[in-house]
Amino acid sequence: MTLFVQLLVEGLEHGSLYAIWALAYSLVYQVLGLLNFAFGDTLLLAIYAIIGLSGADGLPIWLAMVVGICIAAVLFMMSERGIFSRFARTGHIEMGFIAAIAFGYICRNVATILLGNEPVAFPSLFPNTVFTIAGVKVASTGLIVIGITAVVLVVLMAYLRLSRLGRGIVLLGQDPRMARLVGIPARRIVTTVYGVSGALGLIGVILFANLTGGVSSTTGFYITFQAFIAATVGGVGSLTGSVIGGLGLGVVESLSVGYVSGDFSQALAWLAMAVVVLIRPRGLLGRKEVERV
Amino acid sequence: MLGASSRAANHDDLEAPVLACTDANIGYGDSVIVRDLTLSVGAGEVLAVLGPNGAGKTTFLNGVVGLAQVTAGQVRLHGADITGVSPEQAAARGIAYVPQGRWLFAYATGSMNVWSGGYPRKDRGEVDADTRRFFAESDAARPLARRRGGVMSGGQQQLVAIGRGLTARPSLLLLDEPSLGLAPIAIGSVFTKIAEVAAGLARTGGAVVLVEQNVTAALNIAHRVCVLSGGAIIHEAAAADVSRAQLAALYLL
Repeated sequence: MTLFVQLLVEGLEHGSLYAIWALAYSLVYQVLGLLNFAFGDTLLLAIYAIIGLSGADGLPIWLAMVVGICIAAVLFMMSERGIFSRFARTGHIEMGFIAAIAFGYICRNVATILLGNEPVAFPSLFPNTVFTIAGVKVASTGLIVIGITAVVLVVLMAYLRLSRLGRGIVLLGQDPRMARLVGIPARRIVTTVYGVSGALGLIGVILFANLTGGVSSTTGFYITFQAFIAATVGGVGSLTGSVIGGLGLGVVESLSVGYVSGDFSQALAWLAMAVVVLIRPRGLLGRKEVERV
Repeated sequence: MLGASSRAANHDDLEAPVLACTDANIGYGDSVIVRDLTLSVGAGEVLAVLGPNGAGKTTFLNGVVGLAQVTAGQVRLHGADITGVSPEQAAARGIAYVPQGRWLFAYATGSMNVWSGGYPRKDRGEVDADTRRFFAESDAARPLARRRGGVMSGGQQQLVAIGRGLTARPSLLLLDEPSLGLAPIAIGSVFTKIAEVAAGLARTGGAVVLVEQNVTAALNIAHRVCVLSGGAIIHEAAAADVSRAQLAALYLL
């Protein structure tokens, strides 16, 4: 029983990160209809930039992180303006998908040019203490991760529901044509959302790097897949769905590592997604495309 | 109060009609659907645009708000040239569009839908007040405030869509076939609302363009009538001077 709770807690720690990534990933899909497969690799480049900028002779880590978040936002916005929105406008969003994969490759290559192919360590942000509650080992870093994630998610969801811009983003995702007709500035908002997606995603990656101690060139792929699986299971287009998908994915992975085998956890994640999509193609909380006569 | 007349006073021509099309060619991409269109709508006026299917009535409205391309001629709003504006710019200039089929935001509540009409306005507090007032003043609308757009009936959606148009405090309100898909009993209440809205707009110097297939309902509230067929105007008259029978004969041309 304690093992189960232990695994559950660890699952929630990782799951919170997946939730942030799924949310950032889903925001872009919502406003542009683009499956952004450059997501993880673009963030990888940004986190490599943070690691490169900081260190003994470099910027203090907190400053490097702020710069890194700005870099992530700018990279995302540049790729939107320069690449993805062009494909969206031509009506061939599939080409945009391929362009995203290509852009991801470029980001990953630039990252490895910067810091090499080997895994790189990420400086620890908070001292880690492990305490035991009712026989369950809980790491303080893990709790901080869950805490920060919860705050970020609550603030974001509140912003989307209550602010003018937030509502504009939500309505733009529901019906782009009508949104423009009531004066919601589509182009400007899409670019802004991309920037927010980048910043949000990078916060998740920073927490992830802190939790696992470092990143490597394959981390980008990993981030994209986790975001994709979590968002698809939760229902791309539903923000609460992304959160639930992320947490669920973390728990499923953790339980399968504990009870089955570490090697199979990735495969089980894909299997879980396949099962959900077969039963309910739009995801658990996903919405039907509104048919317009 | 912000509205048509103060916008007009600030940078547009008070003498000019609210909407004026001159020799406009309107269509989509390379195909021109409406040719050499010349018409105008004056302050306080309700213009009904009638005509058979495929005549170009919706294309005309789309051309005004930037959903269709105006490849020749001009479109002016209060004298200012708005040819080729984007939908966002049209909204910012005070044009409210209630499209055919309503296009409510399906997953948003009635309240959010009505609120969205006021998106471009600077007076945010007033937008919230206008939204609340819309539901408070109407028994029919009140239960719709918290209902999601996608689950409303056609008549309910139409009411909310009109509310959304109103929240823009527009100087030009465009309605595309508000009776479409509505049960006869709903048409009555919708048109009562439209008449009420038109009267309110008239007080601030605004105007209404009503595209309709339901000739009787349109004639009841319009001041002037314009019949479109095959992309051109084939008849124009004061509403009081035409009858249903005359119009029916025109449609068969």
